[in-house]
Amino acid sequence: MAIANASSAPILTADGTPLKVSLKRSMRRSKIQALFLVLPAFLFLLVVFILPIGNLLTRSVDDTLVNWQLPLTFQMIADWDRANIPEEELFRAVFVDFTTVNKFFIESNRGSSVNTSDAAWWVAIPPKGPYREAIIQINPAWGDVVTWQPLKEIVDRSLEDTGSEKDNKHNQRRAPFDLCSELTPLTNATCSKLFRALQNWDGNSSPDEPIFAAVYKDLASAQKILTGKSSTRMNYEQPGWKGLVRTSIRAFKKMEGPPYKEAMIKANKRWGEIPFWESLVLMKDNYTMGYYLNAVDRRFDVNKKIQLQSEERRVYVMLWWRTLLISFLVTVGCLVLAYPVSHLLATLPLRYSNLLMICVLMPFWTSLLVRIVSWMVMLQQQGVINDALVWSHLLSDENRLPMMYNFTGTVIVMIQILLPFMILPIYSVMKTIPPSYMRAAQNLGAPPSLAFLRVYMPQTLPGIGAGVILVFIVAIGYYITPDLVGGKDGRMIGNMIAYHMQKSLNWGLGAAMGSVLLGAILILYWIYDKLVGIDNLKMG
Amino acid sequence: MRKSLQFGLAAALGAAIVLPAQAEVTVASWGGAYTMSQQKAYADTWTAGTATFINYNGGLGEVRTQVESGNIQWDIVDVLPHEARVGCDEGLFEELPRDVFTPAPDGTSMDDDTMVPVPNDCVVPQIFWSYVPFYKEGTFQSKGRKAPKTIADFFDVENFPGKRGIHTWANALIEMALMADGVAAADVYDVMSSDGGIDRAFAKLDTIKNDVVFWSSGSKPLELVMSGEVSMALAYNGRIGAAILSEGAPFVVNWDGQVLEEEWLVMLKGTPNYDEALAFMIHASAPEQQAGQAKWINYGPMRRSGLDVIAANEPFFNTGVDIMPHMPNAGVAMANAVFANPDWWADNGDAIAERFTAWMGQ
Repeated sequence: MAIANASSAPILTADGTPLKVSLKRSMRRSKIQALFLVLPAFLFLLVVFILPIGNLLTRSVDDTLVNWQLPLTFQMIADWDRANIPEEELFRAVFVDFTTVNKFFIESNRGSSVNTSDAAWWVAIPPKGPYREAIIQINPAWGDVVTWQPLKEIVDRSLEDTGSEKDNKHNQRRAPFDLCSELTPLTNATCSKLFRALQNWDGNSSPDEPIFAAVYKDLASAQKILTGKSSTRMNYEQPGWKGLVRTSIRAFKKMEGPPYKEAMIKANKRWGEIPFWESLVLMKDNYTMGYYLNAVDRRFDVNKKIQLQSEERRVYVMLWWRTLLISFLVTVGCLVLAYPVSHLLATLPLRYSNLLMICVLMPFWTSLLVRIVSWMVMLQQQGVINDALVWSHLLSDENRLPMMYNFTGTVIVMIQILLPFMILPIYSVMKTIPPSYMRAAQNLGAPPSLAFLRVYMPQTLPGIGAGVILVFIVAIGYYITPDLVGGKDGRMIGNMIAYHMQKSLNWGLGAAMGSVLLGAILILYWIYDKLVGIDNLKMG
Repeated sequence: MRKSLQFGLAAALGAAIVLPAQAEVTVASWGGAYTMSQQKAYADTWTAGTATFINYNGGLGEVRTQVESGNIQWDIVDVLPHEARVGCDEGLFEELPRDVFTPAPDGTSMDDDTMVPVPNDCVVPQIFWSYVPFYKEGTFQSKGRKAPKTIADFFDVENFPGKRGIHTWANALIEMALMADGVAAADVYDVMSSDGGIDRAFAKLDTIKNDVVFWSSGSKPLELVMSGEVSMALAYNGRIGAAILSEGAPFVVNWDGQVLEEEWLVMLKGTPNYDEALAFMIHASAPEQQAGQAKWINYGPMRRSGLDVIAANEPFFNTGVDIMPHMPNAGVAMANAVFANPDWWADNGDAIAERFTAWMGQ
């Protein structure tokens, strides 16, 4: 009876709560604890990995800046026949887009939301004032105190005393930047005049003329920056835009009024050239696939059909293939060299294997540049190896082998640099294989080669897999080594990414190429998973 | 009268900038002997504070990141002509008041004293440097040939055999190829802008294609020439000069067909040390300091008055030799030389870069 009773009633813990509940509670507690333990790692990943990659992907398609610059033009160019030089009204739109700041006052000011028949776009703010009336005419919201209050808040916040003089100074320096990023898409424009004007405003009365004057002048200087940035962007699409915009801005200031077409063509004949207008059509959406196409030597034509890039500029596809080829050769080379070395490391008696291990790791501890330079000394045409070959009469002095500053040089140096990445995982796997297996196989009658192929090698596969993946993925993004030793045909896609990130500042194209690289690695990883299985991977 | 008024005004304004006891500014520059010369000429002579130099690899990538994120680590950057224009256009640099800078002794304002038109209000003049061909003494004579003299000789591997060391980007190479092909220095950019001009330059480059060794870091061409890996190379004139003047290296420079590039100082927009950085820039751009740099490296001051100071005080170099013959922007060096046109490169640089990379890889 008592036994039956016990089985039907819930089991209780010492303090009388049911065991189930108590267990759940303690499980939850340990789960939360576990979560807290992984939280730093998760946040770290988010900050240094996921966010930057998200940013990278956005940049590779983002085209909003130039759409801020040319809202009217892009709206009207849809109606252009794409065969003849546009009519006066499109020229006028270009003129207005470059010379007025109305876009910053109007709410729906980008892409398809622009309404060209809205009179607000065509209100001319007199350059010397009065500004208030004109700005309110553009957007009546600017007559409301509510529109100004968030701006005033930025100013007030920056003037609060934080207790540290350094912080106060910093906040006041950043406030003009914050104001401008509130009003424009730019984070590096300064609204200093507005910052000063708003300090004197009480926050309740209707803003007066000096405040409007300040906002107009600040936005005019922000527009200059926007123009600088968008002309850089436009130049990617059609070389020559940068100069055209620069000279035109100067010419625009002297133009009295319509008609603009003739005056603009006279100021710079490029306004009369169809390719420049065609390139505008390609930029008129907030998002573009143009960078990705550029990364694979393609481009849009004026009808948004994909075309091959003009012949002399086709360079990226060749570089992609070369990058894959170099990475492949480096991986194979590392594998061939690493396998016997790892085996030796794993089977030698400890005192020898330790020495050998140091030899493997020594280059690892040596500066990358030192290793590269020593290879230069070895491999160049007047270098050690060529000298030795010529001295031993294996080679005549005129036919010294070109082994440096080319494809060969890149592959050789990269193999040497990446070799430890292959040796270490293979070694750590081999170390765990008992030598008795091989002996057993041979005892059972397998010749050494068969025993190796059927018994030993399959057990090293997880290490090979790890090494191959590691080396290949590291190799595919290499750029310092190819830059130094690559010369004419040993440079890789990483060099072009670095060029666009650091020198040409074409971050869109750089980001697109980075994304393609990321995609390629993920695909290779996926193929590896399908072929070998990722759970087979063993780093140690 | 007006000039002296300007001078007075400038002096007054210069004095009006009150600094905290010890100003500290950070300057990003290129490193090596070049930064050392800036350290000696600008920083060591600056009594108002300390300037710390750090090295960077050029380009505006880092500057743009700092300015757009508002997290500014550098106050001043040493930039190339292209970056000086793009950065100012894109609002990455502070626009500076022009009347605070020290005029020349005769009262000419700094901007008028600069040898090329000052492109915008962001920049402060620094030096000229140039891409220039050079070889090791005796390289050609030992083979019974005469020594190369002109830029055309650089592109002539038949009469002047051996490999050529050139850089991995197109700047200056296009200009030099055209000059070697017979274009007068004054017409180089007209030809480059005309139809077929670039094709012509690449056709000329094709003639040395099989004999080229590429370099990407400034010390490399010197090693290449020294070791005999190449018989002639292009290099930054200051690197060759340093080797000749300080180490007695047996290099011969052919100034014919050199391409001069500008080097400017700019201030990062939004730097917390605006006043201090401006004071340092005023100091560094004064004729005395401009000239002083030539004590340590043979890059030419951009300000004419800087050159005058050097010429009047020869032998000026720290080892006690004349420096003027090694200046890229004075005397015989300028006989057949081109000032690189950054505006042309701003328009066409990206397209040319792709074409050049394709050319390298073929």
